[in-house]
Amino acid sequence: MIKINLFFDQNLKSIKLPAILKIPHKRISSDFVLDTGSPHTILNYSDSIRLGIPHTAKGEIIRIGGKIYQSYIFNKFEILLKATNNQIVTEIIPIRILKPHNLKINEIEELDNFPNLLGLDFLEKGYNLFCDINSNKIYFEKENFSNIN
Amino acid sequence: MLTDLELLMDSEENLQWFQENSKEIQEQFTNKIIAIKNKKIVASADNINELLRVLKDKNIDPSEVLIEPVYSKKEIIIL
Repeated sequence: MIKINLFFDQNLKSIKLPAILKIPHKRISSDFVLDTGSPHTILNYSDSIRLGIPHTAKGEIIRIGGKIYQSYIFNKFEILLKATNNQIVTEIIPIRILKPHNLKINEIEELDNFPNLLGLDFLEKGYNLFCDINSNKIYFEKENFSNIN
Repeated sequence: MLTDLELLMDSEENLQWFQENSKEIQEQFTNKIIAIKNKKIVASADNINELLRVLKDKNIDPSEVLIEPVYSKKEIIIL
């Protein structure tokens, strides 16, 4: 059994998870906002630029808050997380990057401010979510964990 | 170069520092994107490309900083 802590931001009212994002030959320090309303894990435009991920493989059209985005799928993507016992947990998960249909400068800058979203596809990898915001005890648990570096 | 575990520990510390100080950071850096390293804001800019340029000028590895957008007090993020 492994346990991974998440952190509640009292000011922004969001639950965040620190992570390393890794593609072949490159990694960056980053974080995710937990979004159980999102079916997929979304990588923001800024981190896709930092990682140098090509925006070539078109995915679904994604609608968020009245705006429509073209998603681009990248499969060779690893999320590294720190368990409470300092073990590193690695999950391989396809991620989607959002770009507006029309690449207007102000719309790209809006995407710079969009957080990375950890979606339901991550929880489907066998994680249980325990969430007690009032006592700031929020964590993932996973049984039968074998992917330890 | 930091190991993965060292980088994860840094990310966690920097994220917690950002959350604990987000009100003060919001006052000073509203609508900017900031880079945090060792619990300090080492760069800020209006967009990611400008921020990466600033980090390069300061000889800071962009892969080892935590990058966070700073929203206005008047904004609420609903996903």
